[in-house]
Amino acid sequence: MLTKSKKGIFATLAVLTLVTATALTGCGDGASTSSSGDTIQIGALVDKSGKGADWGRKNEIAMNIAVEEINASGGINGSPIELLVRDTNGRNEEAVNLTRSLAGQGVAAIVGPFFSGECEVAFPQANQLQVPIISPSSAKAGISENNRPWAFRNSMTDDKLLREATPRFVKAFDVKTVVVLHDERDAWSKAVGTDDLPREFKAAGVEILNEGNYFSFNTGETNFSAIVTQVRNLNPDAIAFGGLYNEAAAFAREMERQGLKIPVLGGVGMYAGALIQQGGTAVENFVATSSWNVDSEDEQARSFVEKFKPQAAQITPADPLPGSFEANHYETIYMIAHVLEQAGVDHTTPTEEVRLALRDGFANLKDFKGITGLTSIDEKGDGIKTIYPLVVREGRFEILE
Amino acid sequence: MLLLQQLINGLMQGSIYALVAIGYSLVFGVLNLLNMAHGEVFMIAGFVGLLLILALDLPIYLAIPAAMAAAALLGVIIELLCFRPIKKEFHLAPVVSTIAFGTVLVSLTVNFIGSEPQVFPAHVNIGDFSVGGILISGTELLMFAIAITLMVLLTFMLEKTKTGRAMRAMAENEKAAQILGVNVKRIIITTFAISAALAGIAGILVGLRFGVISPFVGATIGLKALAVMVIGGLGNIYGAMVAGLLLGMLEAATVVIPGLSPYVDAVIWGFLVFVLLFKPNGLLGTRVQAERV
Repeated sequence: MLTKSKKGIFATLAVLTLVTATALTGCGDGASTSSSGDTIQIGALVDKSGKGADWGRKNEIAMNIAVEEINASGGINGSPIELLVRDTNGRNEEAVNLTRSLAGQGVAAIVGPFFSGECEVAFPQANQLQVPIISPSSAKAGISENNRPWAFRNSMTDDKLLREATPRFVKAFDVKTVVVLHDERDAWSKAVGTDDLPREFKAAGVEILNEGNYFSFNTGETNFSAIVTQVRNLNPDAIAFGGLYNEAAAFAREMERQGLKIPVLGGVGMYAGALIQQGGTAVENFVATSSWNVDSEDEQARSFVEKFKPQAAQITPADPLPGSFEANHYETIYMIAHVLEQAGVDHTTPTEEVRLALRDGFANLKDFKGITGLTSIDEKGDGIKTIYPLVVREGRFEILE
Repeated sequence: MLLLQQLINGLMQGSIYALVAIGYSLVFGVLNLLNMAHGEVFMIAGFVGLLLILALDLPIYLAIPAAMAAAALLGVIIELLCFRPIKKEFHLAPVVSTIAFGTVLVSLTVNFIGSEPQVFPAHVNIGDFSVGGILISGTELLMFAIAITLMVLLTFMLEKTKTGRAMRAMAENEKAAQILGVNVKRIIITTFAISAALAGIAGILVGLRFGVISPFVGATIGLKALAVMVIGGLGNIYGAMVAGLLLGMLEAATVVIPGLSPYVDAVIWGFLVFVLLFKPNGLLGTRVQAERV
């Protein structure tokens, strides 16, 4: 009897240990790497184990390529860069904690976090601790603006991207009516699907057939049968889709199944090789916005794609090409290096001075030449970048003319 | 026409919930235990099916039983690891340990396969067909048929077979059943294997129907199945079936009724609270033995 109850206690303990262990593995590389003091440290927040794990791992590859290149060419004014990568698990609270701990370790800046939801809580924290934070991926309008002067984004927000892309889409497909739907659980998607897309379509004189009744779904949804049936019944010329590429591909497959063949416009979150990989023939005439063109002729861009492909193939064999997020992560490291070089910073410069130099350098960045083209930072702290509305034609993204 | 198509859409989605919830209900009805890793069994079975199709080019009629077998094995492992070593009196412990086990499964899948949904090859599917302009998915119809058949078979088994009688006896009173010569350990393992196999067949069929399987699908489907089980009546197999179909139709209804689309979760969980207010034991009452006088 005694042994039995002991067994039970042991099992419970074992379980608790297991739970704690899994909880801990979610916190990234817990231990801080002790800096040897002769490097410039840059923190990075990526999601390596959560909903965006494949993205996070590829973002890390992109940043490491940049760090290796910069260090190989002598670092920043002679000081090599050291990248401290932390795993947020895609969770907002983790992004806040890690922002705090990286700031405490004296990093020059933090690159990330990945999701707009994470940025909404990590940016205020960085702003309060006075450490520059630069997200290469978040695109929901207003997040940097609310956290001046320390928060920046090397990405185009959707309001700007869609202001450019929507009229082009409307013209290319002769769109007079549209139906709007969005992902209710994802901060970025909801903003695109309820603000940016409807606003731009209305501005282009397009009628929204489900005004006041926007359809919505939850992140991870695969069954779009009811929504597609409803959309088909409204018979629009096109669809405005506020969602990420996984859901877009699932939606496309259901469209194809129910014989609904109309063009679809989405934002940056819909631009990924995986959209075509998962959607196959169903994503023909899907248009996504991006500020990165993977077929760029730029020499540095091409060398980056070549270095990136073999490493990314180990994570997503079906989709090894860098998307706009990976390109922006690579570019952001170069941006930081550029600003610090201009300011004459090296590893002996006190942390506070390094951070101030970055804050002011980023705020005044004009026409920085990176692999995505020319980038400037506007008064809101967001990137002004080249815009590519990309349409899927016969299984490839092409620039929509 | 539109409403009929939506009704079919809802029924088909509901048969997925029913299939997963029947397995949930079986374990709860017989053993009074909650297996919180049930959704992850569904997910793993989907991946096993996909890997077999990709690696061995298995035809569907072989991949489905293989995925079921893998799921059954996983069910047995869960019983041995998370339930057997823990005393019956610690009601919360198996719940926590199966949550942990499910989390480990998700984490392993993310690390070995990736966080992105994996795609089923396009040529592997059971086609759709159209009846008078209404589109019906062959896969979903199969799922619907399987759910109905299993419900009937399980009920028959519980009522008429020796194993079923033993299961009912266990549901009634485990100690007494043991004294009367029921091989309790064997019955528990059997129950888990059947329950997991049901989640397994749902997992691979859902993968085939929607063309993808994601490592994170278990949490969503597991929670929905739990709701279905509670709404239908804890441990009641008919209840799980009825509530599953009801929930699927309710989801489709939120798309049809203007303005309700963003509130789909509120509607489903609100419905659960509403049902329990008026029928605290769920729609059809609780537990396996409740069907007997």
